[in-house]
Amino acid sequence: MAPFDLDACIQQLLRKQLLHEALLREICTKTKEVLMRESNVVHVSSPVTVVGDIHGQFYDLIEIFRIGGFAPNTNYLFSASDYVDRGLFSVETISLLTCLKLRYPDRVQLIRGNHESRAVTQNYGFYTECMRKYGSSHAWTYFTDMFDFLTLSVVIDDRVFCVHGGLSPSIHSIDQIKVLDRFREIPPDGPIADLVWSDPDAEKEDFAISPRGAGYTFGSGVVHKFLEINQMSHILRAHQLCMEGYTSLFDGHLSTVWCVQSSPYCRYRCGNSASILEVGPGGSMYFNVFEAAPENDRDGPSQQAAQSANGKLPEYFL
Amino acid sequence: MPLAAVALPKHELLESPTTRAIKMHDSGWTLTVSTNSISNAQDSDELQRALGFPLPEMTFGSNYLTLEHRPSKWKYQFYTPDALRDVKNGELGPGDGGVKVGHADAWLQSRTNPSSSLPMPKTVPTKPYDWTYTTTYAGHSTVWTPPDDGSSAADSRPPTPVVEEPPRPWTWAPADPDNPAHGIPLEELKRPDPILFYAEVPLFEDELHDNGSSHLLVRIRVMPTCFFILSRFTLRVDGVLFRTHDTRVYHSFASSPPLVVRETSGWEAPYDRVKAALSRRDDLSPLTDPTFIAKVLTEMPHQVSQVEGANTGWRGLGTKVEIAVLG
Repeated sequence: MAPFDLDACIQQLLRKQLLHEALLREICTKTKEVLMRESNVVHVSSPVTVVGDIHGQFYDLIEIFRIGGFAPNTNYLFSASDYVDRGLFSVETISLLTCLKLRYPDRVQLIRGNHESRAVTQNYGFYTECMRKYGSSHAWTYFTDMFDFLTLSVVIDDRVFCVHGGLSPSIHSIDQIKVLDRFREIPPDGPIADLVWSDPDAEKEDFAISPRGAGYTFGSGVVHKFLEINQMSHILRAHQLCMEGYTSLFDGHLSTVWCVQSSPYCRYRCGNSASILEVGPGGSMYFNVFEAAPENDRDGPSQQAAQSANGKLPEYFL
Repeated sequence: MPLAAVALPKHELLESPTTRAIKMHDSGWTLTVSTNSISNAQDSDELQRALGFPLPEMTFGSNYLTLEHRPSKWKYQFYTPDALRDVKNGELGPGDGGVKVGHADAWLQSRTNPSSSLPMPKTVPTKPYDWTYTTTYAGHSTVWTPPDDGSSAADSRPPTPVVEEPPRPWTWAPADPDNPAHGIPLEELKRPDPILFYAEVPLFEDELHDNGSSHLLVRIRVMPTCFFILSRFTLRVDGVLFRTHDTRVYHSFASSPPLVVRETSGWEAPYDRVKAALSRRDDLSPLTDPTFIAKVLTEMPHQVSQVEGANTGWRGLGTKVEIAVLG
């Protein structure tokens, strides 16, 4: 296998320049080998900085590094995943995160989100973006094949459970997660689907079936029981948008961290804040709430206008 | 016709950080839009309590478009909380057009099959509501308040109603299909007249937990001879269906007595029928574009997209034209 210079790749990506398709293939293959050795539950120690959904917001990722420190000086946990879709630079974003994972496997953790799947990326933009930027679906195939190997959860200091969506009625203890067969497309049902899709419901005690007809919501009793069985104190997840950047539920036992804010999905329409969570030794938690990366003003809106109908240019609609 | 040949009616534009308005001096209209960020946690909680179901992920709770006609004291509004009030809360019945996500049957079966390794856990019933946020909201009339010389345009919320003399009675009446004034003149609207005022007001948007998209956007443009509004609800449920509900409001400044035309239309089709209209089969991105979806749905035969739809029995299908005579 031809050797490649990973640090040079990272530098190139930090300049927002795409890597060659053949190089991506090598990097994804190598990263897969790293991910394959990881458990479904990766244990890490604080201090660690937890980042929510990125959704292809390249500039926000760079801003996060500016605020939180660059890897490997800061340990990162991209807890909430959803690295791709919706944004304008999903390819650059996931390329950079993949290189960082490969370069610093113990310092950068990537958890799988529901967008790290073939089905969802076809509907929400990543597939289209790969086609547009590379002229073929190869890059999309490399990445989505790699997504099959991403871990499902991370535990910080044996006390904070981090997952993309939430809890599953099929899972009571962490050990039950460890034995799941995760090396495949996210199944439409079962515990893996629940971990990446489910949402908390502050008004409920138990699990409930979503009015959509599939998927669960989980209530306070479920959260408390899970924490008690596993002797943990907190659940961290992402998956949902929150105006203030993060929210806490269930007497502070569960937090939702939301990161993307400059996406077409958010900033130009919602005006919400983003946050990263710094988990320190001894259980300290600090939500670092920040504003948009300034580069979005240069590259964001013009591209956004081309992508959606939300531009303010008068239109002779009928 | 060169643009300069169009006589511009006297008007005034008012602007604040979140609110913009146009005042038409001769006809007595004031058209105001307010566009704000999504509701913060406190406002969301209040609205959610009032409605009784979880709000769309992006609820622009303070956004509105208001039409005010001073001579007749007619006031009409498109306002987010009212649009959401039209969403079915409770068990969905005939006509509500309820749907489930594409994989719902398979999902439920995997949980309820006696041989399943994934037995149903103890669950509590979920409060039923229309999770697709389908609304046929066509705006609503509201209490006339005397304008306070434009300063209301700087307010980020609709002004609180003040009781003055009661407005003249008016109602939406069925349009006369033989009367050309009772329709929306597409030829006039296609003319590239100057646009004096233009706005897009998003009311809500939700990605249905990554199962599709539900979206309500109001647009307005004011030309020298008329104003025109399109409020468009667009629903995509992946693998299941597409649904569009449009409300168009048209007024010609030349109409006497002043006449407002309102056309409401609903279309629906199974997901795959709309998908078949894609020009490139591997590029699904047009399926996220409300204009593309509406074009495909409206170009289908009436029987297909306005009668059969996606066989949900949704009462919003079809087209209705109504008029309001002001004064």
